[in-house]
Amino acid sequence: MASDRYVVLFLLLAPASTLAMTELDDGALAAVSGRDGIVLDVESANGISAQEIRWETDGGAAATNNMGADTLFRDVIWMGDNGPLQASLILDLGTDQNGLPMVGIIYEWQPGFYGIGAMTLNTSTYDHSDHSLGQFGLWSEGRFSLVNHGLFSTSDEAHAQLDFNLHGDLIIRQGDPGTPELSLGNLIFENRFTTGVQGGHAPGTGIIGIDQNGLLIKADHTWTHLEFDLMYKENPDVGGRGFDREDRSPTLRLGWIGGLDNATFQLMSGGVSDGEDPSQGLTFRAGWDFASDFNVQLGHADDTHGTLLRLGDWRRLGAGHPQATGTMFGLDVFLDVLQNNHGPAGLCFGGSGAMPTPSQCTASGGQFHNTRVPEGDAGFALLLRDGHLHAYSNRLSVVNPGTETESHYDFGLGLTFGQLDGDIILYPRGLHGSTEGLKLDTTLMITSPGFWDAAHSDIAAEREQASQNWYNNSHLLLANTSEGSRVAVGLLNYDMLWQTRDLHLRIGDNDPVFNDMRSGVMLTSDTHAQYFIRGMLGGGHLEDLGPGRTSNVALMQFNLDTNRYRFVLYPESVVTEISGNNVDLASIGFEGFFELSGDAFLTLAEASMPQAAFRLYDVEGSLGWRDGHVVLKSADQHDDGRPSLTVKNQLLLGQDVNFGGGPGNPLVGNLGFGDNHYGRIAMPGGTWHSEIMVRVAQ
Amino acid sequence: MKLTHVFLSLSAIWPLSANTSPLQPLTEAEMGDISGQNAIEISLTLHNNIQVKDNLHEGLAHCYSVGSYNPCRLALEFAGHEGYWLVMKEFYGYLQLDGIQLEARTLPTANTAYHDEDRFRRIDGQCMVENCDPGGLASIEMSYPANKGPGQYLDMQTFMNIGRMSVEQDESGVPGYLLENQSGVANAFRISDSSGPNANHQVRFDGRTLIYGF
Repeated sequence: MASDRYVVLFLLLAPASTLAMTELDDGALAAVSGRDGIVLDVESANGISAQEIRWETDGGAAATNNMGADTLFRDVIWMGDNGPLQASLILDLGTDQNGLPMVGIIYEWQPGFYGIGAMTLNTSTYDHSDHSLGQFGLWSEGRFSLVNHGLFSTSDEAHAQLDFNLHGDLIIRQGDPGTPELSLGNLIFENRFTTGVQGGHAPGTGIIGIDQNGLLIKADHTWTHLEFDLMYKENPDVGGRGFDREDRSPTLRLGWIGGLDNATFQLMSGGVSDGEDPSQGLTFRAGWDFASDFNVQLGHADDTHGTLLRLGDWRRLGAGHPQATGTMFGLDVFLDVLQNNHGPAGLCFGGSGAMPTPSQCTASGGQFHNTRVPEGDAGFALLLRDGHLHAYSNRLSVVNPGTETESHYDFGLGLTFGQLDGDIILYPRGLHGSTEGLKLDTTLMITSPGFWDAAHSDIAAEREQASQNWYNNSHLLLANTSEGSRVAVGLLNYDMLWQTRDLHLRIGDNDPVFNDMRSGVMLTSDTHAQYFIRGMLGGGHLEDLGPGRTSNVALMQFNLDTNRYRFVLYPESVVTEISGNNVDLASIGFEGFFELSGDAFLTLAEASMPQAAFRLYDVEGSLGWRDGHVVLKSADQHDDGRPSLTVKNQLLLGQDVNFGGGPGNPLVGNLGFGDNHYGRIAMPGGTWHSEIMVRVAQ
Repeated sequence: MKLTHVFLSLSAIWPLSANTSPLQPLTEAEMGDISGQNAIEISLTLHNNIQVKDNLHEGLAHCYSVGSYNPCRLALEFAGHEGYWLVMKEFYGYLQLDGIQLEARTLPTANTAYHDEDRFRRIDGQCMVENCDPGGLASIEMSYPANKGPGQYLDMQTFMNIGRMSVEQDESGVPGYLLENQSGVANAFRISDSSGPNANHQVRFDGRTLIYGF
C-alpha cells in the first residue's frame, strides 16, 4: 500500500480518551474495501504513536473524593518490525450449517513492535506524573479469530468459535535504552475453544458475550499454550528503541500447556469497595478444571542441554468427596487506584470467617492484616480474592534434551491453595535517585481457614477434627502415585503469609550498600519482608487426608521476619558434566541477604499436645546466600539413566555475611520448650557450603 | 513429647522408576506403562568454616586466632546464668550423606511380637490412634542402598572440630560470645578418623526406618 493508513482499527484497540494521532485522509479511507465482507488493511511505514493515553476513573485526577485518578500510558508506539507496520481486520457475515446468522472477525498482524514508554498515575492526593513503573516492549505477530452468533451472545447455545495465537518477546526495563532488560523471550500464547482431549482438541464452540456484569468468555473445553524463556540482558543495544532481542542470557523455561475444561473468564467493571459502592476499576474472574493433557513445565532455557520437568495428570484433591465441588482453579482479581489511607477492608490470616472485621478475625483465631496506601500517597491496587487451586499433579515427566523423549515417573507434586487472598499496592517509584521502578506493599496469604486454630484447641475433639475441610485446604505434598501406594507426605493444611513493605523490584541495579552482590532481578526492602508458613508435618493417603486418617508428625511454624532484605536472581552459566564432557549450562543463580528482625522463629509441636513445643524464637542477626544455583539433569545426561536436581549455595551466618557493606550482625536466638525458657544460642559467624542432590533411586 | 516423630522435610522430588516415550501427550496405554515402586534418593554435602581437602580438611584461615576473637563459634547461655556463655571456639566441620532413600509407605497392619498397644494410650488410658494401633497410617520410609560391598563405609562421612571450649562473661555491654578473655581450654571435641589428619569419620547404615506420627 502506497500511503500510511491509520484506520479505525487502532481506535478499537485503544482504551483511551486521549490519542495524539494523525487523522484519516482520503487515501486511508480508500483502503477500506468491501468483498463478501469488509477488509480493513493497515500499513504504515513509520508506525502509529500516541504521546499519551489517559484512562480516567472516578472523576479523574481533578476529583477530590479520594477515588478519582488518571492512569497514564506515555509514548505509546505501534510499528513494524524491520519493515512497515502491517495488519488486517476482516469482518464477515454468513450462516452456520443450521442457517443461524453468524459474524466473523479475523485480525492478523505481521511482525511488529508495541511499546509503552511510561506507565504511571495522577491523583489529587499525589501526582506521579513524572514517575513510571517502567518501559515495556512487545515484539509479536499473531492472529485473532472469532466467529459468533452476533458479535457477542450470552445464549446458552454455545456458538462462538475462538482461536487466538501470539508469538513474540515481551521486554521490560526501568530506564532508557541501554539499561538492563528482563525478557519473556520466545513467548507463545495460544488459546482456542476445542472439543476437548477426547475430541483431539478439534475446533469447538463456547460463549463470548456481554451481560449485565460485563464480558463473559466461557467454554466446556479449551486449549491453552503459554510458554516463555525468562531471559536477561545486562548491556542491551541502545540503538532504536532498545528492547534488544540479540544474545540475551536465558535462565528458566516456563510453560502452562494443555486443555482447560469448564473454563470461565469474566471481565467486569468495578474496583475496590470502601464500605460504599465499588469505585471504578476492573474485575477479572477466572476459573477452570485441568484436562488430562495439561502440563506445567519448568526447566533450563538451554536449547542444547536444557532439561525440563513436566507436571501432568492434574487431579482434583478429594475427588469424590461430596463437598469437594467447584472448579480446580479459581481467582478474582481487582485492579484499581487507591489513595490517602482509603482502601480494602483488610485480610484475615488463618481465621475461619470470610471477610471479617479485625475483632471478628481475632475471635475466629486469625490475625488481621491491613494494607493501606499511606495518607498523602496514591498507588495502583492489585487485589486477589477467593483464589484456590484444589488440584495436584499426579505424574512427573522429565524431558531428555538429547533424545527428545520423556521419562515418566509415578511421582505426585501437590501445592494446593485452599484460600488465596492478597492486597498488593504498586507504586511507580524508583530507588537510588530514579523515578522509574516498581515499589510494592504486599500482603499475600494462602490459608487453610480455621485449621491452625482448631489444631490448638484445648478440646481434644476439636483438635482431632481440625482437618475436616482437608479437600479444600492448602497442602504441600510429595506423593508416590502408583496405584498400589497413593501415599503422600509433606506439610498438610498449611497457612502461608508473604508480607512486605517498601519492597522494590529492581532490574539491573548495583546495590549501593551491598555492592558485592550480583545484579539481576532484585527484590529489596529496608523496611520489612516476612515469609511465614505453618502447618502439620505428616502424611496420608491422597484419597483421604481427613481426621483420623493421617500420620501427624508435628505442628510446625517457620517465620523468616526481616527488616532488611535482598534477593536477586541472575543468569548463571554453570559448568556441568554431561556425558563425560563439561558444558556450560544456562541456568539461574541466586543470592540473598536477610537481617532478621528479632521476631523470627521456628517451632515444632506435638500434634496431640500443641503446648509441648520446641521453640527457637526471637531470632536476630544476619543471614546470607551467595553463589547459589540450580542444575537439572535428565536421564540421558547421567550414565546410570537417573535424572537429578541439584541445588548448591553458600549459607553465610552473622559476621561472615558481608556483601561489601561490612560484616553482618551475630545470629542470636532464644531456646525453649513449652513455657520454659532454656537459654540463648549464638553463632557469631559461619560459612556453610551446601549441596543437595535429589535423584531417582536405583 | 514422643520423639519418635522425627521428620525429614527435605524439599525434594519423588520420582520413581522410569520408562521413556516420545514427546507427546500420554495415551491411556502409555499411562498404563508407568510403573515403579522406587524412592527418591538424596545426597547432601554440608561443610561449615572449612576448606575441603579430601582427608585433609582445613578450617578457614580466619578461624585460627588463638588469643584474639574469631567468629567461628557456637555459644550457649543457660537460663538463670545470664551473662555467662559456654563458647565453642574454632568450630568447623563437614557432613556428607550419600544416597539416603525416602519413600512414602503405609504402615503394615500385621503386628510383630514387639507390638505394645499401651504405648499408644494417653495418660487417661484413651487410645491416641484408632484401636491403639497405628497400622495403616502413612509413614516415611528411610533407608540406604542395600547393595554395598564389604568394607564400604561411605553412607555418612563427617568431621567436626571444636578446638576450645570455655566460658566467656558479658563485659561492658559486649556479649560474651564476642569476647576472647578466656584463653584456657575447659574441653575440646573432635569427630574424625585415624586414616589422616582431619579425615572424615565414616559410617555405614543398613536396614530401614519408618517415621510416622499421630
